[in-house]
Amino acid sequence: MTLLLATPTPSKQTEMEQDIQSSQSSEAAAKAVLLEECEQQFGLLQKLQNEIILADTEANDDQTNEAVNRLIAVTSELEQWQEMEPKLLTTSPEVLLAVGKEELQRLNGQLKMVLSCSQAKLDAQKKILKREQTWQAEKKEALNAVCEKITRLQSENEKSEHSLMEMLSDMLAEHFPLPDPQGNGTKKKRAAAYDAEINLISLSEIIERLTNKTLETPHDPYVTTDDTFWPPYTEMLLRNGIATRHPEDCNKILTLSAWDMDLKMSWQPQLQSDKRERERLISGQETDSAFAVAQYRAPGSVKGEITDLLANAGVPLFASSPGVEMMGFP
Amino acid sequence: MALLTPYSKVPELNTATVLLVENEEELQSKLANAIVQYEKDFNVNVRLARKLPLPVENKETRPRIDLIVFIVNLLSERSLQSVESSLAHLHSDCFLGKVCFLVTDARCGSHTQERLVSVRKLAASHQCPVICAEHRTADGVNAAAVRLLNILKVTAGMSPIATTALYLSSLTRCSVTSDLEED
Repeated sequence: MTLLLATPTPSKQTEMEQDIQSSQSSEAAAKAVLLEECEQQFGLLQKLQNEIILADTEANDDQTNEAVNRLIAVTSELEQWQEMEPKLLTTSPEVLLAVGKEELQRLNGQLKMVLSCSQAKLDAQKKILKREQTWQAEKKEALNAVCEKITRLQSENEKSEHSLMEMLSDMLAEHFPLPDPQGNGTKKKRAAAYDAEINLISLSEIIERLTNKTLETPHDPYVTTDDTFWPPYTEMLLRNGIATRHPEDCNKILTLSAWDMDLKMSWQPQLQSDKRERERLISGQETDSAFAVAQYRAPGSVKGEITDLLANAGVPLFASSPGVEMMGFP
Repeated sequence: MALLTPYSKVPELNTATVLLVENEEELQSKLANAIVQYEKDFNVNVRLARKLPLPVENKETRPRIDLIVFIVNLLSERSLQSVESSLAHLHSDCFLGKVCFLVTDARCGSHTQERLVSVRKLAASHQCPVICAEHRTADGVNAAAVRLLNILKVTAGMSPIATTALYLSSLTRCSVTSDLEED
């Protein structure tokens, strides 16, 4: 069993002794009162001490678990604190004044220390905050820049996809226009030829019709060729594997699904191998109209090769824009 | 059994007594001098011992001891062993705030780390604080003296009303985390 000694008493004693020294100049009555208090407290102390000694001798070998001991001690201390009431040292005002002054000064000093400490901490935290904010701003800028770049690239990507079709139609319009009656060749034959071919449709239209037919009626993807289809164009499509004739009806062609939009790639392998065949086919074609294919001198381009081919085969070519060679077929 | 009991004597006026227990007697005297030098407001009695139990002859003249400090030198194995054997001579009531461990040379090698862990486990089992001190420089000794004085003031009852030895020990007791135990 443990008994708690009232620990405040030694501190009170020290305070009282200090008070005694400070109130030397004041009345002796205050001193006497204080001394009386001291004696009382000391008597109490002795009594408690005797009780403790008795208790100790009774239960000497009480070596119970330390944790249990601690628990008991803490709970009993808690009870003591709860019961204790704040009590004035003494009712003498000089003593109280002196004690109060001293306490307040000490408290003042301690609070000043606390203040300076917390100010320093606050400043440090503010610096850290500023640094973090600038860091965050930089990162945000970087993020924005990267996002913009991403959107820009995406839009360019889309545009390029979109413009692929535009490019295709532009190219078709440029390189394979409608046969145009404005040429430098012999006008007579041309005029005679074009009377019969007034309603020719452009290559892009042919291709468009073919693709639409394939998509709409996959079971019957044939387009009937008639006079509106300019024969050189149809022959070109057939020769390059873009279209094939209907197996039974010679007037129908269809589009192969296995071709991609990159016309270069579909034409390149054909060029080298089928040169002679093409020449033969072209020359053996049954038509009495003047052939005309627009040709451009694009060095090293596929079109250049094709037109060279055609030129070698004697197919008449005529110009539809400046800087273009033209050959006539008599 | 001559156990050292915490409350068997009446405390003296305006005095605190601290007992420094050290096997090697290196740091004791230096620390004692520093403690006595630092404290001006009240009397400090510093008593030195090599181990417990204290000699029976002085029992009557010895004042009430407010704080028992076990100084452990981590470089020697015997230091810790003597402390462990001395602990058996303490009344269990002493561990309620009147015992403190002071270790030196805690950064000097790998063996010291293991011993530090074992000291901490020992202190945690008794729920007492552990102070690390550096005893080779005067600054280190002074710092240790100041820290011990702070604890002494509380255990002798010289600090403001609400701080008792038990309370302080609950706040400052050594705790062994699971990381240490895994080591």
